[in-house]
Amino acid sequence: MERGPAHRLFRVCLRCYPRAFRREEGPDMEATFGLRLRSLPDGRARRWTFLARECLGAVLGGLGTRARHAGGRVPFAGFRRDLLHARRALARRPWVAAHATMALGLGIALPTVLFCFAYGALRPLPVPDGHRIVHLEHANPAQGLEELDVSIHDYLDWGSAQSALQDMAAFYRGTVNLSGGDRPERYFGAFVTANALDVLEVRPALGRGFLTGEDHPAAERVALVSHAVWRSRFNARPDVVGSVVRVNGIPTTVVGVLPEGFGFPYWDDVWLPLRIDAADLDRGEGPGLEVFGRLRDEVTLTQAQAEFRGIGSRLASRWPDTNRGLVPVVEEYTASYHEQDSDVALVFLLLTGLAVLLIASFNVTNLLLARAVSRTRDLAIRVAVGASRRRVVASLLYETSLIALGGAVLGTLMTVVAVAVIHRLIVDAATYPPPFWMEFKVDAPILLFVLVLTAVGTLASGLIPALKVSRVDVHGLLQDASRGATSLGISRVSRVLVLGELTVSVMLLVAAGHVMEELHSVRKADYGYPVDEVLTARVGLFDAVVPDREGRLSFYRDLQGRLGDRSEVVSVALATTLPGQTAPTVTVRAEGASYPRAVGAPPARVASVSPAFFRAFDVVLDAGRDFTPADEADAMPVAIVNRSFAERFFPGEDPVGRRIRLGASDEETPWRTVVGVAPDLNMDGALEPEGTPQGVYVPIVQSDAHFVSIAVRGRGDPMALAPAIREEVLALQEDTPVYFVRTLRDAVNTNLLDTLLGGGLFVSFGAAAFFLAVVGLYGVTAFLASRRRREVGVRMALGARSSAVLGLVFRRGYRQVVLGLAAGVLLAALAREGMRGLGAGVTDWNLGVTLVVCGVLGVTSLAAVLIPAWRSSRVDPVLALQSD
Amino acid sequence: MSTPSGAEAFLPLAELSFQILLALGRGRAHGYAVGKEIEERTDGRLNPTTGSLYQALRRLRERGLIVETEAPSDDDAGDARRRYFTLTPLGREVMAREVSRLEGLIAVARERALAPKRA
Repeated sequence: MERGPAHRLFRVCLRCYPRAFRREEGPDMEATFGLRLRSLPDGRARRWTFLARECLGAVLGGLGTRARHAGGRVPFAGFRRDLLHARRALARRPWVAAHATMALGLGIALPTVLFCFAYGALRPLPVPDGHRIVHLEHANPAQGLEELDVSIHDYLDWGSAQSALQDMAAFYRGTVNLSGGDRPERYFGAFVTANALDVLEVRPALGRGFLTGEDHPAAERVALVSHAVWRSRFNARPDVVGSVVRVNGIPTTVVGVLPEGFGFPYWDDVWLPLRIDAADLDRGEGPGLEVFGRLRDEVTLTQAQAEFRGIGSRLASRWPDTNRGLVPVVEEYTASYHEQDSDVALVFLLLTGLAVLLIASFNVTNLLLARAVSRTRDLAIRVAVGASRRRVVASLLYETSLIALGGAVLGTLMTVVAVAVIHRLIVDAATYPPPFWMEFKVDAPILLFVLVLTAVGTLASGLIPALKVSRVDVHGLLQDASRGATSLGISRVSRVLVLGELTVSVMLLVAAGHVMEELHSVRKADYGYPVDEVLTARVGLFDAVVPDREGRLSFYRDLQGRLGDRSEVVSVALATTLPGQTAPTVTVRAEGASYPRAVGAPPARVASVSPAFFRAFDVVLDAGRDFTPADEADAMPVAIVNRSFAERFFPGEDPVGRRIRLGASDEETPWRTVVGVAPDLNMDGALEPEGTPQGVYVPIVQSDAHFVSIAVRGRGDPMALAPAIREEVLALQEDTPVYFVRTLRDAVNTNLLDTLLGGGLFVSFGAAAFFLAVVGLYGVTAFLASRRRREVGVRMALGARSSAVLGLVFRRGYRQVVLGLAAGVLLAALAREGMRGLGAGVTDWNLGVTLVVCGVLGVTSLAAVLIPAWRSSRVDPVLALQSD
Repeated sequence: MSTPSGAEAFLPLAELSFQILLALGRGRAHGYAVGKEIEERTDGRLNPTTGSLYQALRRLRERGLIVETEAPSDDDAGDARRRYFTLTPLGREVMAREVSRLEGLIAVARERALAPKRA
């Protein structure tokens, strides 16, 4: 018997058939279902569609068969009649229907948008059997290191030892300059083993893939380009195959164009063979690789993980110097891209979305309850003349279903628009585009989700009114229609529902308020160095363009000089890593210090910077001096350390004049004399510091950097300096594109995108919930007030003043508001603690935000309660008493 | 039961029933194979769910048009749940009559130039 979830679901659906039918046909049907499932072509969407269709078929067919068995009575015979009835009932009160549809539409759209992004991010690789592609890397659990690259030697050893994968391939990524003919442009590129496309089972749309041997260092230079590059740079010319372009300055033949949308490994546009010969390299040397492979059909991920762990431990004992502690990690390819802690936030957001749906449903419930009261007499008559309670419940549920259907259509439309807009925002704002397999669109699985939400919404909003009405005291009601509401106990239910709405929306808004406050503080954050007036850009010098270190150093010197000479430029600095961005770490040892063998020397971050780097950022050194042009390549090696470094390496001492050495103990790096101490400039990242704040600056001419960032300050708008940078770079080196042109604030805030997106969603959820809650509050107060029209009429006829009536209605409504606010704040506090418990990053409780939210909600609710109260106090007692 | 008038009572056949009988015209087959043949022959236009396929198979069995039969000796899949079906004489009779009924209709349609000319 098959045990997959699909089989289980189908088996459950088969229960709709009568027992006799199931006993005879069931097993064979399951066998056939299994065969059909297995024979499906690939694609998750297709599987979902198949499953939905099969299950729906079984449920409907089963119910139909049951009904025929029961004596020829077909269910849903009254379906059409009830549906027509429901449509007429809705058409009589179009505003109620419209309001309910809007509410449910909003309630469905918000969770669906979220689901769309969650699902879009979790799609499998869009290659044949994409879920069988796995990603392999190293981890070192003993040292707490993850996501470690794999050396070419390990890759080859894995390949010859493993049997779990059909085949495996490797790549590393980098930036690629394409030039020749047009102006130079920079793309994301992947350097892959020649078999990479074969492992993925992807054929180029034009031309051919890489041939075996083309990844040898001596092979002819060839390249593949993406469909997008083919269109934008080569104007979709078919003769691009065979043409020669300059790739990182080297003439290279384009041999193929990949299919549209393909950007493996992440968002890459140019593919070059990985030209490494392991025989030329000592073990562990060479570029760090990422490895991927295709699982054999009969092998599970767990089996592959076990096999690679075994291989890893054998390699570790054979090559202890390079491999000790290294453990191979095998994951589904796309899973390797996701961070664990983002899952918590995602689940929380989805729950929030569902909360909004519930609020919307409560709203509709209240509307329907109000309607139900006005129709109780009608329904009571139907019950009295013999309609079964089931039929009455059903007919009310049909109405809700129609509303929900409208809501589903509306919600889907809203989702399509919202997803398109948000996707655009992501693409525009991000430095890196989303990986090519992430597709945010509304397709079959998303629609299935909408369907489920609609069913939830229908039941949540329709069942209470329907059950209430079906239990009505028919005799009493027919005698006195005004007893409808009382005998239904509706006012109590309504009040509880509105209280629930208010509570949830206060909770969401308090959370949203905190997120907004956090975003605001990040936007305005003072980092201790200028970020808004500094323009940054990056350039890369490839060996083929500038082959020697001398050339690179003179390029940096000339660039700084030429930019500094321009009238619109106030100051210029070059650095491998700018303040606020994460610099790489190296181990550092201080002269005279000894480090325990087991732990080794501590790490510090390192950046190579140009002379006057600190002056360019208006940073005053704590001690010592800035780098000057006198710190030449062949002058005494010097370094400037930051405060954290000084405290860690020279506690209680003056670091200036001491000597340090960068790199591992066996590396022949020079001793550097510390000439200055600088404040911490977020070398571990400004926005989300990664730890290890201690850092070292060395003169750019005393190191060898291929990539540098340029930071320029002018007088006005920093973006106006962009042409100057481009001009000067091109004047010095024509094959070199300038990229990442943005203010330092934008460069520092690239990680902000997630926060911005999450915050934006939170805020829109809170706003939607708030809107729904206020409308709901108004509706319920108005309804309850209208129900008491007679009572008010009597009171006023007996001489009650309208202010007393106003107070009566108002107090009732406002008590709920106060209760809702209190409960919401309490829940928000609990939710924060819950998220903190789950390990999500949560900021401190902000009383101001809470008060503002409560204030705004309180005042708006006041209006929502006051208007109906005021209306009710203006009732003409004569009319009110005549009305029934 | 297999009198001519008895067979007449089943006409006209519903499309799914017709397609199932047509599929079983090749010989005994398992439900999966019947469904697959129907889907392929109609280019996916008719692709009954497992539920509707087995309801139709059961109805045809109850009416005596098809009958369960033993699995062929070359079925080595070893899945005991699978059952094989084959046409009864009545089933063949009904099929023959349905086909001649359709032929009659097609002939009329041809006379009135409502059908494509035969190549």
